[in-house]
Amino acid sequence: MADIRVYFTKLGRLKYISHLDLQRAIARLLVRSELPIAYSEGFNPHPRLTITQPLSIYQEGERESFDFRLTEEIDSETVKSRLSQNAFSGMEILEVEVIVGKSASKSAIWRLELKTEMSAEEFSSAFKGEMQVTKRSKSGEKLVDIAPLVSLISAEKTDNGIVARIEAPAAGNNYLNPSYVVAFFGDRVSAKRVVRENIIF
Amino acid sequence: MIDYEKYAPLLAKVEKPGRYVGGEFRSEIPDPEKADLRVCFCFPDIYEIGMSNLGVKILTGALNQTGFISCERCYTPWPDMCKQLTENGVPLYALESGDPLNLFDIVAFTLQYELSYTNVLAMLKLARIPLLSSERGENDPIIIAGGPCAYNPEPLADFVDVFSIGEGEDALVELSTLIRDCKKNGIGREETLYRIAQLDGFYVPSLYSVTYNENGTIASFEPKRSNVPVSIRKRIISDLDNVYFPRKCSVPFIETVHDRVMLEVFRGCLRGCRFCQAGMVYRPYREKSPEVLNADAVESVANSGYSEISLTSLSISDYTHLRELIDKLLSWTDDKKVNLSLPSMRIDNFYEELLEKVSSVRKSGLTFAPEAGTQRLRDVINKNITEEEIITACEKAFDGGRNSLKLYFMNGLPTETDNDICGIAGLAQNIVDTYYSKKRFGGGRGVNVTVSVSCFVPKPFTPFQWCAQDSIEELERKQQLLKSEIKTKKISYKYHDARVSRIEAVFARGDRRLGSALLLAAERGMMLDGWDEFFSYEKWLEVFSDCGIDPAFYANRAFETDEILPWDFIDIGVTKEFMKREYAKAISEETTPDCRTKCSGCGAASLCNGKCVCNERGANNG
Ligand code: SF4
Repeated sequence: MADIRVYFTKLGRLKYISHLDLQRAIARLLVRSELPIAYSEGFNPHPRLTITQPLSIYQEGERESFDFRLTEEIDSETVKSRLSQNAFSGMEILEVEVIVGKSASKSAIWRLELKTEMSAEEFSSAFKGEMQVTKRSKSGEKLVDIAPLVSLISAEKTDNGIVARIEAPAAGNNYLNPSYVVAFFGDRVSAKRVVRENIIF
Repeated sequence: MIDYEKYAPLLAKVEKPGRYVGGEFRSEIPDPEKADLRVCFCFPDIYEIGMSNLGVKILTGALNQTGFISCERCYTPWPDMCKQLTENGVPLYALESGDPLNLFDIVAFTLQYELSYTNVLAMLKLARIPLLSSERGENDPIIIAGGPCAYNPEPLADFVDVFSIGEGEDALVELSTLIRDCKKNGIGREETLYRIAQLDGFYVPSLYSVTYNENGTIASFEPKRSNVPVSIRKRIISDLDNVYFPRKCSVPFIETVHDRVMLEVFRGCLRGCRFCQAGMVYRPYREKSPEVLNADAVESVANSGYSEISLTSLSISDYTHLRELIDKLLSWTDDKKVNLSLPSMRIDNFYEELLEKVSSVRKSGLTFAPEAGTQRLRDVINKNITEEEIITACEKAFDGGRNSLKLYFMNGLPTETDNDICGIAGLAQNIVDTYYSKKRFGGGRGVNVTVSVSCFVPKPFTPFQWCAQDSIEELERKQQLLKSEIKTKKISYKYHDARVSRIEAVFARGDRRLGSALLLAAERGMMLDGWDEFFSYEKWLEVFSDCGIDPAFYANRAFETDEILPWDFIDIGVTKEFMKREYAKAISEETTPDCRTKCSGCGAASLCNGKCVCNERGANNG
């Protein structure tokens, strides 16, 4: 019995696939790989599988991860190659490791590829003040200042925009979807790509 | 590889972009650049429905393994995507390459139900392919169509260049070969179509002319050129064990309607229900062997990772090797955590044993399709199931701890009276009473019987093809009558919209004059008529009246048995004489035995050298 964490990419056309659909696709991938995997109990057993952090539709991930359980010991290289052989396009299996005691994810590094006429300085300075956005939740809409949650790592000017890297909480009450950062700038920016580069545990 | 980035601005604005990007596991196709012929196979409904269709998987797979064809897929976009395509001036594209449909050599449609005809036109329009065959030029794709509705191709005669009649595995490859050769040799569109018309099983509507009598019925239906056949015989596959079956299907990301491995156990049906088109047009009954089916299943599961297999055939209990097949499947499915789901089957001892023996067989809901409420009417429609059989089966199921079931009926059947309608309520009540006739385990839950009633639609190539459909008022009156007859909350009652069934009837028995209505409907943006939220009866009535078409002429008129029917030139093997005999027997309330019990000489034996495969004794009888 071993808990396995698999690091993978969700790139390209996979950005159009929702979290739930991705989960089903990974379950099928595990079945195709013919690894001895643990199943859930119950009448309709399915592979025990957790995607560490959901990714919204339209977002990509360069180093995502999911956990599952092996019922027999198999070396990580074999697991990796079996998964790779059965993966779908847009998903590359990066690394497979045995995990002992699950650690919660702390934060995530995001890369926002934005189309904008703003300068990098102008863009960066926004992170120094308050960043009020409307957050929607079950209890209704409210204005929240997201500035304390995000830190800007870098902002670089490109041909027709800015590539910004930010760090934001990946889980818990403070989880912040970077779409709020994009939303904060309103129609001054439009997101070409939103990529989660890494999840930090 | 699809350059999806160019579609990104559109995809960012639609509800389910995953429908429009392809890229599913195992969706790779032969390189379009290197292929001699490019085919785009279209399913005229949305992705979730089209991706569930086994026929499409079979045919696209069969074309892609020829070595010279690259075959892609396309489905009807949801209105949000239609809007994006139109507003951005982007033509409808195929999922694999992302290339617009108008770049393909062949664009093929499968016609599964009449209400999808508007989707065919909507897709052509979105793809900027001229809607009318007569307006297409040398650079436009050849539009082909097949599937169950192609048995009466006439309503689409103006729009489709070639219809494929019958089973397509071999036929489509032959057609593609001919089109490739014509293309190589620089043969033009008109001549290509003329040559196609001379292939077995293909109908080129532009090569036929129709004249009409004063009363609107058909006076003549004739080929315009020599060597174009007067009648077109359907194609069948005689050996199902050796025909291509896709063991490597693409696995969708989005959840589709039938998201599982599907096994086609047999084709055709032994029973001869007189309203059922599938039961007639797919004759004769042909089985696949349990060995091949099991191998199909093993490989399909391994290749897909699916955890469910379903057997898809009409009346599955008729399969000679059912026990053997299920034993074979169960020998490995449990281990692999694969569920087996069986379609509604006869509730007999074998079925009960099955349910007890294995937990992995998914207890799909218990269903019966008596179709009619009285024995008299069941005799008329040749539905050979008695009330006693139903009650006995329910008794068993209740004893086994079940407490809900679903019954399917039709209203508006030929010769139906109010007594037959009341019989539906009576039968359901008897089932409820059966449940309470003894103390049941977990009795507190009570019983639930769902009665689901559709409206009879007369279909071509059935013994009821000549019958009139009841008027909307009459159908609705009967629906209300039944409602008032149901006296308990234990029975839930559902019924179909009669107005939808009427439009279905118009197109089911329509002729090529309906082309003007479809064209106008397309101009008015009508599509997705199979969806309650988009179907509009009022709009259809307007379209008909603007085209000078009387829908009652097609739906509510009893056709004469000696008039020329719009689909008479199609030969399904089963003869018109047989249909007439069956119609007469229906009126005199006589039943016809199933093909295994006794061959009734329907004519289908002529499709297999006079020796019908479903009944060895049926030799030379057909
Ligand atoms: S030829 Fe006879 S056995 Fe064969 S399908 Fe027709 S009626 Fe049935």
